[in-house]
Amino acid sequence: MSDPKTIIEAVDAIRSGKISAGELVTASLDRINQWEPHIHAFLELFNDTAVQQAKDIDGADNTTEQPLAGIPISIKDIICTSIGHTTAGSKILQNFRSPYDATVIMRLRRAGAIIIGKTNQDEFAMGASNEFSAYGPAYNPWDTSRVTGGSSGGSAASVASREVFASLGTDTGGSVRQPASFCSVVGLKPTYGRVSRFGIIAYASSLDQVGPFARTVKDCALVFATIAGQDPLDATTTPHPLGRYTEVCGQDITGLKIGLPKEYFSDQVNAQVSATVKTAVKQLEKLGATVKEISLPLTQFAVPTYYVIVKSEASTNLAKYDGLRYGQLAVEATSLLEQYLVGRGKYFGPEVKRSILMGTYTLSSGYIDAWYKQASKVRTLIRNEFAELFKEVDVIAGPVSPETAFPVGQKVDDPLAMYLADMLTDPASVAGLPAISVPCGFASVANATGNNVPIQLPVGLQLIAPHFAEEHLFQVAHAYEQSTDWHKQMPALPA
Amino acid sequence: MPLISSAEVKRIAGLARLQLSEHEIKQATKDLGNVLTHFSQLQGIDTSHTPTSDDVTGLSNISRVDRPIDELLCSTQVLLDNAPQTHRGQIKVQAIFA
Repeated sequence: MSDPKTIIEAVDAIRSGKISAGELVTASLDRINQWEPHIHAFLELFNDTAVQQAKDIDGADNTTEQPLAGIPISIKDIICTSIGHTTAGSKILQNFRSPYDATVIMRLRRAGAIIIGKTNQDEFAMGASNEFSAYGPAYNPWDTSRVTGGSSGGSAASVASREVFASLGTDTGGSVRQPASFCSVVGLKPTYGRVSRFGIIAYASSLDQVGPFARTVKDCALVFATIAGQDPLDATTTPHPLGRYTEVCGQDITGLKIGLPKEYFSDQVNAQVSATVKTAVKQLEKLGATVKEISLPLTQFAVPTYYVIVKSEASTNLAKYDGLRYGQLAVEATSLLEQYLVGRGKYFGPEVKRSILMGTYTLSSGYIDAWYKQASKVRTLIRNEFAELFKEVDVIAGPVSPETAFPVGQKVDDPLAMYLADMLTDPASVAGLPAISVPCGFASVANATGNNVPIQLPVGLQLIAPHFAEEHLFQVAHAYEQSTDWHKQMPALPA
Repeated sequence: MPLISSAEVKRIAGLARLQLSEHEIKQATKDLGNVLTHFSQLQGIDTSHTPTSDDVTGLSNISRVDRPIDELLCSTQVLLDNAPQTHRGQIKVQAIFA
């Protein structure tokens, strides 16, 4: 039996008969059995349906029309699937079974992908560490005393540990890119409106996007090409033409202009992270790109702008959880109002409650102009600042996160510290721009257990492009990746 | 002066239909105070001639034909199965006018 490392290799191996979809699923389930006790990447597994789906693919005459035929993929639990539960990491949806598949799931199924299970996440995607999951955190495969990042932490961990080939997460303010960076896998946040949000449980509707995680850039491009495109069921998806996302992987980057914003390398960014990313940028120069220092002065306002908007939208989206048609009901309550109050108080977790309170405040009469509307105007300024810079450069490069994966428990009681973890991912989100995280090395960090042996933790290079220029991201990220071997390094299974 | 008082937190929790314990109210007052104080830097930016961002990629007037989609149709029972309390094929709720 062959041992394919990437989706591209696995699809070839299945088509040429070197491996069956059944063997691929069995290998995936074996890895899950080994890794899950250490990383808790999954909230639910679909072993039986995955094995059955693999049998169907192995029995089919021809799967050449299915670009992902037989590939085991995991799905963030905020994405509705017609099998199993969809909890969004929340107790309030503990028993919820979606009657339908999200558009992205329908597209993956048509492409032949095998849905292995649902991954762990911060409750309703609110968090940067996966510690706000109501079902307990996921742990980083590179050091299980540290966080995976969030909110799509389980997705990132499932790909990093090689439990699956790829995963779908969602990115509102960095929830694909930051865990991808912390776990050393590739993660894409598409342009707002490029991928359907139909069947995605909303966090903040003007920012949410589904994005793929994969082991390599080309695999990420392949999954993205499968899920991208206009959907009549999501009016915010765009008719803008799709790109040739896998074909650009391998194209030369000579002459491409890369901007390096000085604000992304400030003293708020860990020095080792800055140095690692700058080395990666030097590599891009060696590959023929032109690098230019630029400035994005509004970067410092991205976190407050993002959080005022995101919590305002979240408080509105969460108003529908009344526990009547679905979800958890406070059966002990004796009036309708008491059912709302008690049920929501009992089944929402701490960050979700904070979001509801903050968003209700920033939208309430007397405060909406000073907070929500002001943030929405600053959002326009941030968008304009990027648009001006993209007249001079093709792609912007910087770190994904100001730090490497932090120890479990370090920020969980300090909301502001957790919010500031997104300082380099919020800007692209606020502007609706596509951005990718690609593994670019390791930084040496003091060991959290207190012994003096430093450990090596992954660092991600973030590339940001103009609206709908995902092709540029894949082209540059692939060229970089293929000139290094970071993507070939794997975490060791803990003893 | 803190940006938000515990009385204000209680008021917005009521608006948001969220029951909080005394400890939660105290914690939320502190947390929201810290966060909003940090975020108040937004107030210093001149936006007097800037429009709000109502869309980021230039979409307008998107519509579709309103007809059932086969892949999304499901039985009433599947929907009722998600409801915590049902009675004779209906979702059971408390009386609104007690």
